[in-house]
Amino acid sequence: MSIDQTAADRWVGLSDDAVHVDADGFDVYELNRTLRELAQESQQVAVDNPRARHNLGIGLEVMRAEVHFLGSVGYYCGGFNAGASIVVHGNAGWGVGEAMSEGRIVVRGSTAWSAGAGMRGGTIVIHGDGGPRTGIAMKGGDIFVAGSVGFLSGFMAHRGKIVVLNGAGEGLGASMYEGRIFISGAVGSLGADAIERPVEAGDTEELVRDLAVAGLPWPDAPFRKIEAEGRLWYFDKHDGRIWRSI
Amino acid sequence: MCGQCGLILEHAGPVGHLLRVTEGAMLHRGPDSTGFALYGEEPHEDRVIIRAHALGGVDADEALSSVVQGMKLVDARLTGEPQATAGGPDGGTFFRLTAELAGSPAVLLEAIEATEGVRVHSMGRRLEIVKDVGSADEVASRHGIDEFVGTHGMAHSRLATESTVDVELSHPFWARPFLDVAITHNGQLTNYYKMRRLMSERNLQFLTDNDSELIAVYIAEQLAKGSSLHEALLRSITALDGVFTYLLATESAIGCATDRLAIKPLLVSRIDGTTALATEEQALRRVFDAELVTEYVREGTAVVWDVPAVSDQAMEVGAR
Repeated sequence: MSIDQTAADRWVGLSDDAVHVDADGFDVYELNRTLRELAQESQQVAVDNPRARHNLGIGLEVMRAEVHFLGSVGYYCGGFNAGASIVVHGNAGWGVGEAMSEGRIVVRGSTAWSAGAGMRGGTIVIHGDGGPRTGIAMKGGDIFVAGSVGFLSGFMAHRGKIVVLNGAGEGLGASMYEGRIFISGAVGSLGADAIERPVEAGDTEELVRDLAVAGLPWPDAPFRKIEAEGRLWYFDKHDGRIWRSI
Repeated sequence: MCGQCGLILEHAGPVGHLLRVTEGAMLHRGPDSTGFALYGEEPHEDRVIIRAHALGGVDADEALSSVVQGMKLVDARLTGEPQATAGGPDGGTFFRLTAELAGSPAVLLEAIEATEGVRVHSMGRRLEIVKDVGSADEVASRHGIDEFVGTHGMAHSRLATESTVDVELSHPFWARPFLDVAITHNGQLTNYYKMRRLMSERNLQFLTDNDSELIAVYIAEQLAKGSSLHEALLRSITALDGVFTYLLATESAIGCATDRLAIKPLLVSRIDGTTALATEEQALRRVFDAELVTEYVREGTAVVWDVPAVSDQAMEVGAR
């Protein structure tokens, strides 16, 4: 199983015409302001030397350009994204795309904890592994992970969709509300109130379309659909055991 | 918060400088105090290096001569001139002494601390702990950390959560009285008092009420009883309760252990023969270039990295 690089490059390819910015010359506020300005004028903006610094590309809005970080980024990259396309050519630290509402973020490496935490819309694609608590408390949007995700992924997700191609850790989908998780590969365990439901024809059609757009391969193992059973939506004293297990 | 880092060089080199730069990138994680545990290149079986601190308000000259007198009483002869460095504001004076180790380290430790207002920060054949209030850059320039040549070491910036900002409560901690064992820790223990009571019943001693010091002594006790570092670290994951990602250094290795969630991050990277560890990736990237491949240490694991320079020395000794 490998990533279809041609399809992926439609999303993440960097052209020779990209305008380059050297992050070394800026503090993070200046850099993010500069990105906003440059992105209105050019097709692609490439940021050299991100050096895993935190808060890169925070609060970007709908813009003409894609923003490419040529290396790993630190915490909260692309947080509050309101429409920009961001590509990270490396790994991302905690909380990539936290609270984003629109746009897309592609991470070519792996992400640390809480990718897409509390996101309300837009798309995050992770070519490597997602860390623990991927999609925690997400309220909308889609997360696609080519590798695996860590423990408590989808924890308290209100809405939205997480698609994982290669397995998950413990407590998958714990205490979800109305989100959906599609998982292929081994799962450590399902979390409190998470339940497996049959994958329907409409789901499969949706996944085929999604993965093709994201440039990700169809996995070898079949998808399982994980949702909330709903026993935690209202308090019932007979459910005390599940409540205590959270 | 708190930020920690560790470094193992392939050959003895500027480990002090590299740790200062790495740790300096994590000032935002803990601006209260900074400390370094440095392992020098040349051990002597019968010599120990002592790092001690005369508290603020104590007359440094009097304290030093009293310490030297105390050492004489237990036949610990100085092997060089004592060095004294002034600490930060009200920070007292820091001593570096080298001495022949005639008896047990515990006896020597007691003899030194018999002097009012003197606290020993470390004793070892290689280990030197330097810790003070202030940022990595401030502490390093005050104590000449940049000039230190050695094989491995650790650094820590502290955000004081469980106790006050104080030199003695800064990291790293020495596992007294076990030579050459030091710890840096990110997190807090919740079964500290229970563990401490059980360990005190085994006559183990602590300088402070800090939970991180307890972990160091807990591991060192097991090493002294013959456990491997990896076994001891693994055992600690179930014995300790709370939040922890800690680095534990000995004369020949650095190990780490994480609790079952590992919410305190630690990244590892191998660059040629060098092993670098840090709480944040950006700290590693201050020192190493873009080719760096990093990986998070997973939850509930114990890992040990050997110091190649030390194992090479051991092999040479064995060959002779």
